[in-house]
Amino acid sequence: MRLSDRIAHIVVHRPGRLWLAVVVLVALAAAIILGRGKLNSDVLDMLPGHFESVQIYKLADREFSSARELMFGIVAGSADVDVDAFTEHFVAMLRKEPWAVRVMDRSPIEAPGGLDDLRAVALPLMLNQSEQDFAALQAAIAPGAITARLGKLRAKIEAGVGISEAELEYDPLGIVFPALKSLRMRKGRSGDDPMFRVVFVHCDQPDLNEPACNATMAKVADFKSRALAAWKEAAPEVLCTGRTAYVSEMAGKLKADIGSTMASSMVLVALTFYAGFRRWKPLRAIVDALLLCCVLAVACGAAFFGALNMITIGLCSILVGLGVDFAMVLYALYSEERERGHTHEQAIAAALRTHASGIWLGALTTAASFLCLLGSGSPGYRQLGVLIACGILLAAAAMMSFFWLFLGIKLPRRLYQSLLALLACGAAVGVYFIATTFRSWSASTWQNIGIGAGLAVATMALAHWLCRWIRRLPAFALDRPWRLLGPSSVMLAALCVVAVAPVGKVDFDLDPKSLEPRNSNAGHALRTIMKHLNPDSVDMVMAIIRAPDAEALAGAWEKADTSWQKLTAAGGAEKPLLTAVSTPAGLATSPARMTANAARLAAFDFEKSRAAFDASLVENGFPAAQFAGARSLLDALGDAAAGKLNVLEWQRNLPETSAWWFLIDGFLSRDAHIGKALLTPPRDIKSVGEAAELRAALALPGVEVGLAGWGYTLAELAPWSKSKMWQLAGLMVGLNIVLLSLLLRAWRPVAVLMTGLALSVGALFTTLKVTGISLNLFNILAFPLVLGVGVDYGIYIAIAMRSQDARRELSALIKPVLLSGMTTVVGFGSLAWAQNPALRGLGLLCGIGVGWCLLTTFVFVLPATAWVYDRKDAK
Amino acid sequence: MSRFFLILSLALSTSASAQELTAPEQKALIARLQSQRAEFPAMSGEFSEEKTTRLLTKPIVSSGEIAFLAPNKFRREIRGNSPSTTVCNGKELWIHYPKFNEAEHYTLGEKQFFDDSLAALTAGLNFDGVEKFFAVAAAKDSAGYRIVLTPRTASLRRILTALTVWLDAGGTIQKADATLPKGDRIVTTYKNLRPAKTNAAKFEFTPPPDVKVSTPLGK
Repeated sequence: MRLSDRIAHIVVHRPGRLWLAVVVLVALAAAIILGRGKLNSDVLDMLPGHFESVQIYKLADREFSSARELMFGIVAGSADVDVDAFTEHFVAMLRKEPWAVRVMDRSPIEAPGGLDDLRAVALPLMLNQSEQDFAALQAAIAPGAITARLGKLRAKIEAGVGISEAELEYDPLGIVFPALKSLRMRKGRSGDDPMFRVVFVHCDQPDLNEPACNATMAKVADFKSRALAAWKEAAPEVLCTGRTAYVSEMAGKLKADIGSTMASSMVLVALTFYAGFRRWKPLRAIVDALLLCCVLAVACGAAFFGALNMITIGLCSILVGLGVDFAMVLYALYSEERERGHTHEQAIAAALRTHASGIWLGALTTAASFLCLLGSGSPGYRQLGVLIACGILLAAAAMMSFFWLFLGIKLPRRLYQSLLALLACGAAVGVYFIATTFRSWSASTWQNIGIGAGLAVATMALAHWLCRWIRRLPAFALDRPWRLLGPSSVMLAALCVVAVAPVGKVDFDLDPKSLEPRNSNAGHALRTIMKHLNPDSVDMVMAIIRAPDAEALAGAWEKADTSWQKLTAAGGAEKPLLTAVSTPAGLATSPARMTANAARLAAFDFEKSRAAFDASLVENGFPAAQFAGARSLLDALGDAAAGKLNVLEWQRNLPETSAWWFLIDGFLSRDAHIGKALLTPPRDIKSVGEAAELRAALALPGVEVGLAGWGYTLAELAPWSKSKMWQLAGLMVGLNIVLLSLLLRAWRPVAVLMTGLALSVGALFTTLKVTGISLNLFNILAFPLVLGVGVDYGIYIAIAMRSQDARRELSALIKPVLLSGMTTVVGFGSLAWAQNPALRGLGLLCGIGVGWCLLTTFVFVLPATAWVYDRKDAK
Repeated sequence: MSRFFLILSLALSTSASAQELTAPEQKALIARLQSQRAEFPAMSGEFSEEKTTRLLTKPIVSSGEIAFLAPNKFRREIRGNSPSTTVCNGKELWIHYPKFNEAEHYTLGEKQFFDDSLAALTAGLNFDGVEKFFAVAAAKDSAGYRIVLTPRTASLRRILTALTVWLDAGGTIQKADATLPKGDRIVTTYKNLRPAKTNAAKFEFTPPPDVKVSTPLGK
């Protein structure tokens, strides 16, 4: 007994075995998904992990606490809003929140407790000064110098205005500000715009994973609404951004995308099928089989990878679009066999016998095309490739087995009625939900509904019209192939000429915004805040230096700071490569230098200095209580001189709530000897040449410098992604040739199919030029997929053309091929409505590409293979 | 207890003698003061100042001469043991300490916060755009007017809690009492304040060649 007959026999006579298999598989899949399945929404996992700039980003997330920081932008819409008063109210409430570890809305010195913490911050910096600067410090704390300075400050404050009062309050000894000079305070500099303020908050967040980010953002949303509700005057707009906000938003949109893309693809595919076959029962069976495939494929992904990356959620939509092809091809022949009077079992066996090899080959080419993504270097695309490859092979297997089982379901009358009643209840709940909420639906929701409905109607109408027209195509192609082949070759060749001609251009989008979800709140907030903080809006570059110990780190940063400052106009560069340099050179303290400076103080008589300080306070009428901080600084220097160097440890002496941590943590890792600098180039880095020039200029002998930055990273990745596209496309072409040669065993049909693919890709490029759709890091990998998926329709045509009764085979096949192509296009196309940029780009490009492949199959491959096989005489 | 009643009766007598102006009266007064300043943009006179600060155990008392030229020029010279000259021409502000041979130079128009603070303080004295920065409460008493200016914005409240200005019946400033955050206070009493000839050169300053100049807010 043949395998096809055996399967048909089991479906008809032993359905219980198949049902048992379904139950076991679903239970196993559910256990795996619930036990291991997680979503990973980190955009970094979409980028190739072997690139240094990507690794640097991951290192920065791991090592610097800024990954747990949120930035609130408070933007006044009009002059009626007292943005400072609101910020004070907002910050006062924020400080009481248990999840807010520390808050900063202005310079750390002005923050509550900032002045008290200044001593703890400044002391290590004082002892870390160069020999010359430290000599100035020693001179400043000499008894005579203290007396003279306090006397002078007293005389100056009598003048009434000026900086003297601030000096007296913050640095009466004149040793703190010189030590802080090495710091670059970038944060909190929003005071110059009266309509804008920025507030930084460090969140108490156990880890950086999605659930922790969601939990934090839920607290933030609750806090924001409370803060705004408690403000009775004109309120500003409150924006929030940061890694946590991005991760939470992207995860939320990912989950929404899973449902929306799957539902839209399912609906569009179902409508397309119904327009073609006008039957509900096989449609229900296909949907059942597709759902089973999706569950099994997701379970495979969860089993292989655990956490599924953002792009893999497009799996279901793609799988629905691709998997339905097999069912339609099989069902078309099955129904024809049934119309001829064959039994259910005989019809199943005939359909399997005829199309099994084609389905397996189509599944293999598609799986191979997706497996090409293993070579992409991107963890996300690798996952997608493996998952779809598994999914498509599962779909091929399921459609040739379980589909027949589902097709044969005959529900008992009562169960059928119960199900109908359940559906009616669901519909009633849906109507109630819509009736109670539709007034609050946003404009974009209505837009999506409108587009979705329009697309559904258009898809049905197109499928209906094409199904009527397409029936005549095989006869026309077989009888007069050149009549079809001539014009279509000219048209497709012209499109290819436009594709390669220097007319128009396919854009490659290197804007970091291309990595963001659609209408990203965190992205909008970040750009708005940056526009105020950094009016030039130049994307900064992050430089990271790792060292084995604190001494080496201090030395490396000193070297880096000296070298990089020379690249600015202020540093004397004729052609400045940087406009601003903020390094941790001032914060990365050298233990050896601090010990040496402390030893220099050993001979110093602190008792005399303290006495001079106390006497000057009395003489000038300064209250001792107001100057206790300065006096304790003298005490701490005395302790350091006596060898008690623990006074120099920030972690020991600076409370976690101190705003100074924003400054320290922004530049130095607490757990490892790693420092981070922020460099501002004169303009955004947009090409690999600019990135290489900057890298070369920042190179330091003997120091390994890691660079990253969204613009910088994208510029570096652009050539890589283009080369990957060609590599993978080449690999896919080679694979197609091998598989087609094995199947068709003749070079001419293989050449026709490959020419058809080349023409489709040319037409795709022209479409990109004409429509202005940009390529980006995500969608560029669509090309190998188009080559892998798009060849399938030609395979069915070529196999049918070889059969004895080509005219009959083609007549039976042409409608399912058309419908399966359309369902694949709408399956991919439904991803274009995803909020996730990777899915959106991939779906749009694959949809257009497969659409061209489908058209090329009918207008080029069909007549060309008829001509090649010379089937004019076919019955 | 008797001390308490004394203070209370003083307070009551003060408030009883001062009559709060209605909103239209207040507007009319401010408009009159603004037109006066427009008519006589230049004023000069003498002042004495008592400054109470948490950084000093006793208040500082100083005196000197002052000159304004609306809208934003002024010159203030302090005499005594710690003399100083503060000159603002609307674009730059200089503070010269002859005793130390030092001068501080501040450029206006670069730091919004600094400019707004200066504009608000001069508005409190020449009433030009005063309602933009302050909530105004005016009262009339036997000697003239008392105007209490309360900052409208939180940014201004960070440098000034309230400014009370006393004027004679003719609208000439007699006294100003500035309450500052953290409990500091400056009370300035003006004498012989009168319209003066407009002399723009008075509001320019060039530091002597041997003076050490610093720029605390940066260049």
